[in-house]
Amino acid sequence: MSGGAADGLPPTDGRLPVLPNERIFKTKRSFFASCVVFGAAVWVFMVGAGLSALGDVRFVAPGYVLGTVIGLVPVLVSNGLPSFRYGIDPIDATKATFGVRGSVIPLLGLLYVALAWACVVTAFIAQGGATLATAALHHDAGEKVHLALVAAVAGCAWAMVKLGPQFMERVNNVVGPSLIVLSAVLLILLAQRIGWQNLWVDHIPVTGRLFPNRALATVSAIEIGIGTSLGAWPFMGALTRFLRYRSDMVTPTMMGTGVLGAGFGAAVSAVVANALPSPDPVAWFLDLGGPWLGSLVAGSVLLGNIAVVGLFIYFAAVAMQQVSWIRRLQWDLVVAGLVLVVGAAAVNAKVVLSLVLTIAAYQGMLFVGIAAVATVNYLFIEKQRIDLDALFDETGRGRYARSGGVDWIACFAATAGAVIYRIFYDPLTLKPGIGFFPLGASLPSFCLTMALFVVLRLVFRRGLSSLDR
Amino acid sequence: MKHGWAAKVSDDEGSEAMLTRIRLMQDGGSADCFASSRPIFVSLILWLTASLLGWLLLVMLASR
Repeated sequence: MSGGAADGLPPTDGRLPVLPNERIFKTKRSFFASCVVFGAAVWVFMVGAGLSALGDVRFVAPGYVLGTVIGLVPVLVSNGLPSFRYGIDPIDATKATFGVRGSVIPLLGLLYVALAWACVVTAFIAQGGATLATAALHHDAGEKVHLALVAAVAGCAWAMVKLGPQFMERVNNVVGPSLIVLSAVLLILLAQRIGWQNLWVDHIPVTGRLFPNRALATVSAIEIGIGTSLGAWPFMGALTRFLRYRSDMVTPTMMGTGVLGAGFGAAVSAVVANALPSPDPVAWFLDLGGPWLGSLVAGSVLLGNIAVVGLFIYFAAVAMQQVSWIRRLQWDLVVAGLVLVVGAAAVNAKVVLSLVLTIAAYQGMLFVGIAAVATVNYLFIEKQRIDLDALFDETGRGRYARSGGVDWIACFAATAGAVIYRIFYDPLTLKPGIGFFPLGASLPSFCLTMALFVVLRLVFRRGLSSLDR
Repeated sequence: MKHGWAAKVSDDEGSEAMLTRIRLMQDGGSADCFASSRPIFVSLILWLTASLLGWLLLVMLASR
């Protein structure tokens, strides 16, 4: 991405507001392509494999796609819109809601999303590499090979962060769309083997189903779809701040990030996991593509995704620069620390990969309250007019720096949102709680958190005006 | 620390260029991003309504 600022600053490299004439997404097509890349990542295959264990694939697959679209609505309203209007970084935009110091709450959410998925992708690459080695050597590659692969992935990711984000973005621009094409190829190969009419025949996996009740499984799949999209919350504004026209915002995001990027790959892999005995995507490539072609495709997917690990570590390291004592540390030290954390967590690949749906559901729990509070703040308190001067004010006297830079009501309401979500749904076990059926957890939690925030503002600030801050 | 976005921010903060940039965005103008957000909300409501109807239909079918 390149800027071309009139004043000589490269706005794409910084947190500075991107001016309207510098916006690089001038057409629906260019924004759509970036949304696809943003939504498509290798874990869509693993989410899909998890979905098939959730319940009847004929319902959970379309349910998940619906969920991804629904989840993008609060993401666009509370994060995409302010960044689009003012061209600002999404974490900076949250300072208008949570205060200049309170924005550490969404920052922690960003770190969770970036590091959790970096762990999942590292574990996936290491396990996939071990599976390929086992297939080539005709005997179990063993634990040492797995450990060596985790170390290699972590080392490569560190080297890629050193190379800079542009390189990783270029690789990801190829890997993202490739995964969509690969999903389509998987579907065609599977259909050729078992017949198109058999794709939608439900098979109960040997490990059993999490939800014998079909309707409950469907609502759970919708909930996980919403959680997946809410995971895009801290990143969406990073795309929309480069968008020039408002008419290009909604449909490309819904189709690119939701339906095609996150939804299609997961839905296809749910169908594939339903039809084939193994839940491992690398085993699908070997099974459907044969030892040579399957190994080549799987190897390319695994290699390409090392850049995705690097990109997430880069996002996490940059986000941590908002914390002053971390900003004083050497950049290489911060990156190395993050790489070590990711590598250590990814050693136990089986556990990490079994937690994919849990990670997606936790995203929902973390961001539903944040999104609800940010929505109320942007639409009803700020009335879509953020005070940019106060946002970038370093004197500590700006409007968003009051109460020590923390809007305690907003922080409390966002935390309460996570607690409310937990009452409806347990992200760890994926077990539904009180009142989960048929509205799921995110929808009621979002509405209740919005109501709670409004009531708290009216009680403690005696008004919804931004001046009552 | 000379790397990435953070370095740009610390280098640019307080500079005249940054202040100009903030003023330009704060004042708004005739650019499309400052126009009414109504078309965005209409589009979002349409997508949300369609998805919620799909949710209802899917749950009804699954309950049969």
